[in-house]
Amino acid sequence: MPPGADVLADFSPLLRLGLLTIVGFYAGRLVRPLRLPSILGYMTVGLLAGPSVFELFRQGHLEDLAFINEIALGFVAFSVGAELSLRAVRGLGRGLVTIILAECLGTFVIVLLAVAALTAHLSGSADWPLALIFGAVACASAPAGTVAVIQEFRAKGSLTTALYAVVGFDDGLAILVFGFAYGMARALLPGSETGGMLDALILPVEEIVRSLVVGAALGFVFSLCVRRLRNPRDILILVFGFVLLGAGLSELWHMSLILTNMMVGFVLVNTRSMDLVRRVSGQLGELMPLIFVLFFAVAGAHLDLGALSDLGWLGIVYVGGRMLGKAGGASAGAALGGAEPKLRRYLGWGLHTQAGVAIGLALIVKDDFDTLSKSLLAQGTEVAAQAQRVGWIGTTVITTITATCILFEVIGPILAKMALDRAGEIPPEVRE
Amino acid sequence: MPEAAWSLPPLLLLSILIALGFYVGKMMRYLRLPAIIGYMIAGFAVGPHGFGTILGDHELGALSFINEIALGFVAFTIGTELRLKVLRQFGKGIVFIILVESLAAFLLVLLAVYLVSGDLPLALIFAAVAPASAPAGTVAVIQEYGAKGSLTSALYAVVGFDDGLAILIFGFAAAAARQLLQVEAGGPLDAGLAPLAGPALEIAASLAVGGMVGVLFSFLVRKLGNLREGLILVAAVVFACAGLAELAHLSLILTNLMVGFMFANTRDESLVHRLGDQISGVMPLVYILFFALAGAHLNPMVLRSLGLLGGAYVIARSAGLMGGAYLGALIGRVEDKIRKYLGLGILSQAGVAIGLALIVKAEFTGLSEHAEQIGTVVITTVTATCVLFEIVGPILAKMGLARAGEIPEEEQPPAGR
Repeated sequence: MPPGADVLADFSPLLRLGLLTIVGFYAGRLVRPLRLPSILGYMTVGLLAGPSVFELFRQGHLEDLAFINEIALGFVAFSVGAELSLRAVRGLGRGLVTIILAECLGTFVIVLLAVAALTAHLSGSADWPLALIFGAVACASAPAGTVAVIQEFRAKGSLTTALYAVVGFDDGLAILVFGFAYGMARALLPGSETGGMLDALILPVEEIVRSLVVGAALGFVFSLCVRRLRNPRDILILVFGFVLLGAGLSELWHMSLILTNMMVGFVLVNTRSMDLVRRVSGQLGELMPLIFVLFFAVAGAHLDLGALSDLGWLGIVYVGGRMLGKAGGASAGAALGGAEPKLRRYLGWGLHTQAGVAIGLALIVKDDFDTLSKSLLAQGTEVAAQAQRVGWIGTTVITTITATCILFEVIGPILAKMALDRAGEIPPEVRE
Repeated sequence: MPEAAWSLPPLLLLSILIALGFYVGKMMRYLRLPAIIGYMIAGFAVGPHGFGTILGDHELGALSFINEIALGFVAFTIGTELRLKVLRQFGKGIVFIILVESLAAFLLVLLAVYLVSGDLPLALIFAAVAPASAPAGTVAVIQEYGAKGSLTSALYAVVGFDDGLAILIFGFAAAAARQLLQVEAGGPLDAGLAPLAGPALEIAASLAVGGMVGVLFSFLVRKLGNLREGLILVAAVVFACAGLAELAHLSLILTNLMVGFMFANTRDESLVHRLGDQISGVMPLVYILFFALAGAHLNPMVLRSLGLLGGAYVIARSAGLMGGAYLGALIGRVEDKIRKYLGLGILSQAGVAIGLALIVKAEFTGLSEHAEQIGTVVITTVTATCVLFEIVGPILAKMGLARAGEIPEEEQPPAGR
């Protein structure tokens, strides 16, 4: 630990946050001449300040700041929903549905097969539970990075709208796939209860349905309330309140934060005048830059550079397989669904970001498998080897995912920006 | 102390506070009262001493950082309103007002409490806490009604700078009280001016640090291509100063005030206005959270222990502040409008006073039995009187501004929808 670090031990959380914001903000501006998204600057500062480099922020501090994640994701999801007016989406037609299905399932299958093949090659027999889990986690993508890039470069066009739709809704599909694949993985391992397969599907579906329903209900109430408001400051207050409500209810009732808030924005844009929606988005747009600085700085602080050394073959195969699956799947889906060439060529590039969601899923797996492992050990020495294997799977997943997320969080936004650029959807005055 | 009835995720709690506060605030407008009263009621209702009890003491503690952020923004806003061009109009008048109202409050409370209790150290402590006033309530009212004019500018100046004077008076009086108690308990008499050094240093340091950060901030703002990002910079600076203030024992208010002050006085008006507009976009949200939390802290049970002492304090403080402001304006030959109505706007007293009372309590524990008694009496009484001042203060401030004609007509609440 560098000698200066002790001095900072007394800095209050506010001071750290303030410094992080300032430095992050300027780091973001520094990367602009490199034609890179600002969020990379924010993440770099966070990374440097975080536990893995200069330790200005320790784990405990980061946990205190966790609420920023939820608030930010809530706003991001709301923005995504507010972009999905049925008019705009209908233009893209069936293509969207096939794209989402193809990129999600494609990624799942490719990663599944790739990991199975690797384990077969390395140890003689394919490790299907491991492969299933990696396949499941691979589907999850993070909307924040893509949305931040879109907003920073003020992109507009069919690719942009398609991106909004895909990153928004694929959270739902990812939940389903994860539920299913995880259920199967558990079924293949000893110690699981019977009847698990059906439950494995029902629970995620329930979660998705709940999110959509509650989100829609919130959306209607919000639309009703916000219609009477003239004063833009009042509008901001209400948006803030409802996004927090969505986030809070999601935590309370185990729903998808993203889907719930997305529905609120979705209902707004499809039941109220464009003028009102513009006013609301305008207000939100003033706050978003600040929120992004905080969100990505904190995200950067969570990145663990040390984990990169644990990447190994598994990580490399996972990264390669996921990128192939996302890009290839999106492309195939676009072709199948008859979407325009622009989408076919570039949509996949915008889907690579992966972050907190994946780590969250990996943590769920680890916790569950740790418990399973302990219960197996308690059963005696015959299953000791199994117990060890289970524990190993849990740990491997979390370490690999943590490492690969670093790559995806950096590559994802860069590729997204490139895609938008090449598709010609970034206004000339922003390209500087 | 009460626990929350249900354990809800913090974001949910915040959203309920915001939604409830927002609508109760709107209701207040029909009663021609400032919305912040509504926010306080909403917070109180769901707080540990209210009805719903969804906010327990634990949750309140976790949300306390909102206080500092809000006060930081408020102080920054005050600073940006203190353009030298405007202040020069008042000349020495403002200085006189601040001096006289603070000293008058101090002396009258000293007298009143001594007459009621016969206890000099106790009277000194109450008098020490009396000049402290809370800028948030007054500033929120000014912003809500869009008030403009000389009274408004004068109010900004007074509530901003009197924090400094209050610190000095507190330091002096509290030290004097401590001396008396020590001697009474048989201890030695500490020498001379030492007690004044601490507070004076705190003020000087706050102004200096704030000033430096302010210069840096002004420089950075000018370099911003896109003013949309101005909010980020302000937020960052406010956070940092709040943190610095805590770290180096500076006055949160004075530090942030200086940042705003330097900015407003080194950049051209239109830039300051534009940045100010951005901030005022977020302020209502900040105010809802701040005052709802303040309301959640209010404990009406405490009003019971108000008694004669509390009554004397309330009356003497109010008389001192209002009378002192009037007198100061008279001496300083300030315009009639200000002379008549300024006093109404400076009565809010809140967290600052409670904070000071807590400091006293902490320092007096273990000193002597008499000292500990004083510590407890002060904290209970001040907590109770704050309930009154927090509610009455903003209402009177609004009245004062309205009577001075500084509330634009269209801001009056509509008769119907």
